[in-house]
Amino acid sequence: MSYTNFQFNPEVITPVDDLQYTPLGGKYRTAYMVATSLVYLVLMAAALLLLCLDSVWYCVAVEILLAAAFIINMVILPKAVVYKGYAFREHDLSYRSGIIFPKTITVPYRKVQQVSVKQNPVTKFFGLYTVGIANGAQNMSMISIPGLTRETAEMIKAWLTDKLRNGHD
Amino acid sequence: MIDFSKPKRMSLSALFIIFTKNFKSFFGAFVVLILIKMFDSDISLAKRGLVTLLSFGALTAVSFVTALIAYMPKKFYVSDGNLIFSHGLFHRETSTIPLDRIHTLRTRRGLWYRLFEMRGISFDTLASRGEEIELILDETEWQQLLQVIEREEKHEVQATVSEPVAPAHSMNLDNSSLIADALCQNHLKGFAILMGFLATIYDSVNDFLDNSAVYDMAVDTADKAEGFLSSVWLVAGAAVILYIVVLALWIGKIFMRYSDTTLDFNTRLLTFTYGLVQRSSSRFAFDKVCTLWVKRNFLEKKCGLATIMLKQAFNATAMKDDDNYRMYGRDNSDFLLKWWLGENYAGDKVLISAASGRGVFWASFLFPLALCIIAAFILYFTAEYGWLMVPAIFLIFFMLRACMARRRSKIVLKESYIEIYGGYFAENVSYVKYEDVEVVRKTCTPLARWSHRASIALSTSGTGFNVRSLREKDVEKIYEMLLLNKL
Repeated sequence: MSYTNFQFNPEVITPVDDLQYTPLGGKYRTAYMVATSLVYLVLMAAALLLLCLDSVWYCVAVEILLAAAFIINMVILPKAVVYKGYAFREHDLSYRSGIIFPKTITVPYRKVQQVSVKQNPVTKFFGLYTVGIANGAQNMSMISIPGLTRETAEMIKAWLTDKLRNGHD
Repeated sequence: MIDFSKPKRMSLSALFIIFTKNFKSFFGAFVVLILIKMFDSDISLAKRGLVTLLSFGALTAVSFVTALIAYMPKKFYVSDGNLIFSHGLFHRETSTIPLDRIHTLRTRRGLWYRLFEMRGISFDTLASRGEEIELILDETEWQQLLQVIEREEKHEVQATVSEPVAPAHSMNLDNSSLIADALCQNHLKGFAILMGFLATIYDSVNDFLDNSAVYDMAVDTADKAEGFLSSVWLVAGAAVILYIVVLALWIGKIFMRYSDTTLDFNTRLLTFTYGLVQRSSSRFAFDKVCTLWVKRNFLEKKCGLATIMLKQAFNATAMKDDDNYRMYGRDNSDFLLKWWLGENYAGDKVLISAASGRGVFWASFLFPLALCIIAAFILYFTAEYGWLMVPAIFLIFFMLRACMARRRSKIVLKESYIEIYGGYFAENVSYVKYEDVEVVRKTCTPLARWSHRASIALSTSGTGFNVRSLREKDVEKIYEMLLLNKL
């Protein structure tokens, strides 16, 4: 493999902030909302245990708090989904997420150690897949790209494994 | 020859081994409950026997069902140089591991494994959070799978040209500078822990006296002593004695652990051998070191001392921070940096340097500020006005600490390595090579649109760094340069 060490020129590179990120799709938004609703449902059911206490108001207060948090979450969630996206460059892949604390994470292909395709019961119901990309980092060691169709997930997996096999960076 | 190219399950013996493992863990969790029922004298012997039998039956059934759930969906195969696992019934997952990324194969042969002539095999890659899947294979399957993996590894080995290794040298690190550096460390943490411990004992003794019959007898003596006990001088004296105790314990610990350190080195390997009674050794391969960390506080700088740590990549076989060696004593950072970064590392040009802004101050100060405000409110409403001085002192201390954190936080990209500055009262510098950077992340706060500041985080296989509140333009450049310099 020939070794190259070109001079760094920021003008010829598309910075991660200027990349065209591929959005995760409408089905993912629905799946995400269903999963979040289920979590709140479980929390609200668990809060009913507070009825065992002397006053019923503890339970009412917690349920109101949870309901308020649920509404706020549901308002923010679609915006967060719209912001999420992934992009591939010649040597690395980036994933963007977070609406209050936006973050972009980039992992070079040659640092990828494992690629996995996952499904949980909710995403299975919607026919969606998550691609997990494990690297050797101590922190941020897993990037998960959720809300992908089977074809896209397989395509990303094939793309990454091909890059790994050919030692491409 | 076994065909590994098609998805296959492990053999039925593996199912039995998974079952025994599950049974063992379920039994361990419920053994106390079963024993209580077995020896419950309130119920008849026949009932006790029935309950015990039913418990074992239920445990067996649950273990078998969970074993089946674990066994049935687990399939593996080798395709295009990748080892592919699929597993999970509800959380379905297919993991692809390129064979050339597998750097350790761990095998396990417990009692049940040996009975069925099986082996448990775990595949380690550099991914610390990758899938930890154990395959249970018989000897033939294991040998043939090993051959497939070794064939891939041979390609890798052929591609690697080994460099000549220079002859080894040796040097001894002196004990006097070790003790001097141990004295220069911050002992306040140990002091605070010991003070807290003694305060708890003092409180417990007081509670005991308040509630015991000896109280009346002791109260006269205590009253007489109260004036003396509450004197500030005595408290100060006790604090000084405690501090000396902490200091002695600390120096004793450091001396026992790190005295008579010998360093053997060549171009590829550093070996530290240390310890007064128990001699330990730490080996650092040139290509396994991922960060060199140097700490110098005010006293250390004055005395030409430094605390240095070589950090290695973590993986499944080395997960603890203990695997990193901490070197107290004379400032040998230049020697170690020359060994690791090259003789001319100091002459490297600075590509970009970015210092943190006010965000670092607030990130360090907000939490102590909130705590101090809460403490002050509690003291105010309980009318303990005199004690309000304590949160005020803490607030000043944490404000100074946050100011220092902001002053020190900086990232410098040089031609062949990165310097990350941090620390509060002491200056910490971490040196990282570009090729060890595994992943880079940029994070903004909701205030970014006004402050135009962002944080950059980078992680190696053994360390992680987060440099906050840098100018957005600098972050963009640094982000790309960190990724680009991997070539």
